[in-house]
Amino acid sequence: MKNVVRRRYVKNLATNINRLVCLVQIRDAHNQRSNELNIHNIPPPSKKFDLIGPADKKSNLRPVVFHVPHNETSLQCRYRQMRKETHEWNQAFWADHNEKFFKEKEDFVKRKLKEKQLSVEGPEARLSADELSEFYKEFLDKNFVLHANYNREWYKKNLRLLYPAFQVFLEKIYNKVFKR
Amino acid sequence: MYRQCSHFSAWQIRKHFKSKILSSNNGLIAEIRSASVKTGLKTDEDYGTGSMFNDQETKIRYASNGQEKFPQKYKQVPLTLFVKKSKTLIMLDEISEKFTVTFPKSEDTLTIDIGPEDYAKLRSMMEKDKREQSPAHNPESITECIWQEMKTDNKKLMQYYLKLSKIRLTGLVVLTAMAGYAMAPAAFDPIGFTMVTLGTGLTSASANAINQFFEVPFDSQMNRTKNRVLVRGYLSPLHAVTFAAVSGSVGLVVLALGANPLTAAIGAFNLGLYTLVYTPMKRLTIANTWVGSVVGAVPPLMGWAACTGSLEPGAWIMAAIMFCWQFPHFNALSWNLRPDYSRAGYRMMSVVDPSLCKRVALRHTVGITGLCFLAPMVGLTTPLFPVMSLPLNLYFTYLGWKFYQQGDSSSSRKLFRFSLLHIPLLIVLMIVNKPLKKNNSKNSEDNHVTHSIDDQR
Repeated sequence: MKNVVRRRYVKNLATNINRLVCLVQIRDAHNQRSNELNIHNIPPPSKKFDLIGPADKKSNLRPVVFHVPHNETSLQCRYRQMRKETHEWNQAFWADHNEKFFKEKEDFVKRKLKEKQLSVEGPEARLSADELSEFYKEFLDKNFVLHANYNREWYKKNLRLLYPAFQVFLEKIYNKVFKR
Repeated sequence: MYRQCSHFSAWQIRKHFKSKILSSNNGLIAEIRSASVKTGLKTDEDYGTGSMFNDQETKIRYASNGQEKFPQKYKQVPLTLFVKKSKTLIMLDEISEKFTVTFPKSEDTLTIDIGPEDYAKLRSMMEKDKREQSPAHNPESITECIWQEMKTDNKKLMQYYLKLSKIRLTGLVVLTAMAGYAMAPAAFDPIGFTMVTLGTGLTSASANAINQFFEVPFDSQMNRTKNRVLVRGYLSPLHAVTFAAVSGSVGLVVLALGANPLTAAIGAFNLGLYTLVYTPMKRLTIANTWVGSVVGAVPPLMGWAACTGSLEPGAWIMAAIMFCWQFPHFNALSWNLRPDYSRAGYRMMSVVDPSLCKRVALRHTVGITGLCFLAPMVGLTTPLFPVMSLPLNLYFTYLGWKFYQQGDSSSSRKLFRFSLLHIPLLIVLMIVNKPLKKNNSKNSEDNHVTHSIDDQR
């Protein structure tokens, strides 16, 4: 296959799909450990805009790389800091939360299978949806306060970001119109 | 040497083999890992009925009958097929146990035979329920895996707005409002009708946009909603909120001026109920389903009020039917999304109290049947309506009963799909059975007048 793939085609594709696709390392085919696609993405440098990336494996949130312009004003700087802080807080919460979820689910499945005296490995090692729903209910009830607090915080942070965003927007227009 | 995206590597195969059928006898072994495979089922963003397959490793062997330009023996090369969401590119042919890769642009087809054992393995991997995997492990298209600039693409703005307003849901809401207008016992005014349609659509769009703005991190956690506009960063949150504010205010103004203030008041109430009560409540208590059902029941009231200017008992019966319909519809939908809802922290009946979920769904299917019998008593429809709608309602109840008994993904899906069919048909039957305006009453009025005049003489 060596002579099948030529660098010409690599270049063609690169220009065709998206110039932002950088080094994509595809996991070695011999690595049988995980059968999921593992793309390591390095965000390309952007001259004007923020970048939003593929969903983080742990938190399912999309990371954002903020672009810092040369002539950044204080309003823009403050807005960017707020956004960054919100993103990081969100990322930390969900990564931790999801990890907890999957770990507790695994423990539950193991426990249930032991009770049913089935082997943990093997094709029968699956609980029915009804049995799993017990775990889902348990998880929700256990984390009720945590979720409620997170919701309150998230609503506050989300709404607080609106006014600075509006200020930045107005400032941009003002600069465009009056400072030309 | 790694390739950026073997979508084009597959092209290489095509270029050299031109739709040859590759049999498992001899030749090259290349390992293909396909990232995601999409079947012909269209992924309905709002309803999550599409199925998704995940990564598989398969081997391609192809026949080389000595006429190809490259040598027969090759070393293993990793290939990854990225399949774009928009077209069905990979299909499993169950009869001949091969699978085909179709390239839509060139309309070329590559048929790949991987041998019976590998095919069986592939099939079992695809049938494994991968819906429990989180969205980050379930890429559906390459656009989900790459970095993108956060600039608003103005050419796609209309598309983004439609997605932001959950256009399919908004369409159904508008349909129910139009039904409310049609069933109201006052004269049909085309301008009023258009105004109420427009106003309801805009208000509903605004409500949905605000809902999406509030729920960005939760939507990222669920496979069904991971490709929403704000989650992907196609629009900034400020943009979405501005859209919501503008469309909401314009919608309410249109309702107030084009229809009447009562309609606008009901619309504003519904908007507030959905965005400020239902959306936060989804994460706190299962009572959110009841609030959400009220939200769904209000549009016919809006249509009715726009026509007659007040809410007669007939309007309330219509609203009650819509209210009851929401339960089998939503409970069936949420039944298959239990893992996602649990991980995202939503408190829905299907997760918190599954038996209640099934009971409530059944209860309300019976309720719809009962309410249809009540309809002629308030003058909403002729007495023929309950009779005509009985088969429809009975089948709906039957599906509800099946869901109550079995409580599995197939019965819930059947119930959900039929609910989408049930309500438009019911509305059509209602409109067909609308009582005609009687001329007798007018004559009797004249008689009374002449009598009184005679009496006075």
